[in-house]
Amino acid sequence: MEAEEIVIRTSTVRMESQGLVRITHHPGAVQTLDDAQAIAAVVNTLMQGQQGKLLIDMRRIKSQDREVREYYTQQGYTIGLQAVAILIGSPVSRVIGNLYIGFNKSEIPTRLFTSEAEAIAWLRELPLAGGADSNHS
Amino acid sequence: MNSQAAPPDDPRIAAILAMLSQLRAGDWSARAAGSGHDDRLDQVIEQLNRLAEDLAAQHARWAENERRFEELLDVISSIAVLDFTKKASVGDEGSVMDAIAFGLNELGHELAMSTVSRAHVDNIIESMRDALVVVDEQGSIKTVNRAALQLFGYKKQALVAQPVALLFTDAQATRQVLKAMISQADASTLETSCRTAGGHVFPASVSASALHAVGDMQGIVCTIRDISERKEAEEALRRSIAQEETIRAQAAILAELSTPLIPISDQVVVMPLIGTLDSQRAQQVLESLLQGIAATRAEIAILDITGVPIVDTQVANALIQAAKAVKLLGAQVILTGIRPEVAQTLVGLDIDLRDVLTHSTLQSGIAAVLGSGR
Repeated sequence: MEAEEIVIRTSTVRMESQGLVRITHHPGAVQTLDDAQAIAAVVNTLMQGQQGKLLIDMRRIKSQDREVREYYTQQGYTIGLQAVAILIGSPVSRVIGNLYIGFNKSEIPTRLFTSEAEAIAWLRELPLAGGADSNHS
Repeated sequence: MNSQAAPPDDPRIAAILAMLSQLRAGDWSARAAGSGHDDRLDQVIEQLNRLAEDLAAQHARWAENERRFEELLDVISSIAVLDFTKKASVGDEGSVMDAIAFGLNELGHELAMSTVSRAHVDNIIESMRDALVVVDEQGSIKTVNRAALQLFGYKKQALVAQPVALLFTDAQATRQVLKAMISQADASTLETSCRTAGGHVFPASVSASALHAVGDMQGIVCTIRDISERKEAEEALRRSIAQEETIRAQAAILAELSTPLIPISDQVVVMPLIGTLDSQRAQQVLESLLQGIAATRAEIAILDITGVPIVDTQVANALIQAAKAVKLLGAQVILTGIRPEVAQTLVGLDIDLRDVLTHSTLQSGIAAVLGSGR
C-alpha cells in the first residue's frame, strides 16, 4: 500500500506503516511558525486521532524561527503523539536538535539521532500506548 | 603531445617563475600562458593555473571565514555587555560556522528574554512601597529594595551583609524571623518595633517567608511596613471611645441628678423639676417617675415645676403624659409650682388638665396630701 504523502512549503509529510509519520524538511528550508502549524495540521490529518510516532528529518534544514521551537516544545500540537525521533546531520541541524531537547517541556520521549536506521529502530521498539488518546503539552 | 624538451631560454619558464613569485606574494590572480604546444611545459602551466585558481578560492574562503569570525566576535562582545541587538549571519551551507552563528543568535535571544524578565521583576521590587529585605540563612542581609533604604535611612552598602537584627529593636523579633527560616514555615507576620539609622524607633508590621529555589531554602524574604500612622489612628480611636464612655457615664449621672424622686411619706413622692424640660429630659422624667412609683408603691407623685422656666406645649404635653402614665400605675400626679404666667400659658394652650391635680406651690401641695392622712 502506497504511503500517503503531503508536500507543503518547507517539508514533506509522509504516513508510513505502524503509526509512523515521517517529516522531511527540505534542503535549505527556513521554517516559520506558519510552516510548523501547517505541518501539525497535516500530521493530525494523517494520524486521524490515532496513536503515532514522529520521525523528523532535519538534516538539511537551513534554520528555524524561534517561534517554531516554542510551538513544538511547549504546546500540544498533535493528538496521540507517543514519541519523536529527530534526525540531525549538519551543524545547524545539530544546534536546532539540541535546542529542542534542552527546551522540551512535554513528556513525549524525544531523542536525537544521526543514523536513520537507529532512529527508526528506536521508534519501532517503543510500544504504542493502548487506550484513549493522550493530549500533551 | 610534443615530448621534446623545451629550450632553457623558453619564455614560458620565466612566466612560470614570475607566476610562482606572484603567488608567493599573495597575488592570487597570477596566471601563466601556455604556448599551445601542449608539451610538458604547457602541462605544467595548466596545472599551475589550476593550482592558482584553487589557492584563490581557498584564500577567498579563508577571508570569508575570517570575516565571519570577526562578526561572531562582535556578537559575543555585545552579548557580554548585555547588548542583544547584534545578530550573526547564518549562511546556506549549514556549516559549522553557520551552526555557531545560529546558536549564538539563539543564545542572545534567550539571554535577552531573561534579562528583560529580570529587569521587569527588579522594577516591580523597586517600585514597592513596602520595604523588602532578603536575609540569608545566617541572618545576614543579602539585598534590600529602595523602599527599605528610604525607610531605614541607610545606604545600600551599609546594610548588605549586616545582621538583620540591626533593623529591629527587639531581638525576639529577629529570632522569629530566623525561626521562620529554620522551620521553613510559610509566611508569618508580627508587629514589632524597628530602628532607623538615625536611631528613630517606629512600630512596624513584618511579614517573613522562606525563599526557596529548586527545593532548597535560600533565605528569608521580609516585607516591613511602618505602621506609625495606623497605631496613632488606633490610639486616637481608643481615646475617642474612652471619651464617649466618660461622657455617656457623666450624662447618665447628670440625668439621674436632674430627675430626683424624693419620698416624703410611704405613699407620697416628690419630683422637683429644675431647668428646661426638652423631649429627652421629659422622657427621663417619665422613666424616673414611673420606676420610682413602682419601687416605692407611692400613691401620690408631686411634680413641682417651680424651677421650669418655660412651660410650652411640649412641656405641658410631657406633664400630661406623665400624669396619664402614673395613673395607669394606680397613682395620682399632683402638679405644683404653677406660676401665674404658667397658668396663663396653659390656659392659652387649651391643655386638658382634668387628669392632673394642681397646687400653686409645692408647700401647699405637700400640705394637702399629708393633711389627707397619706
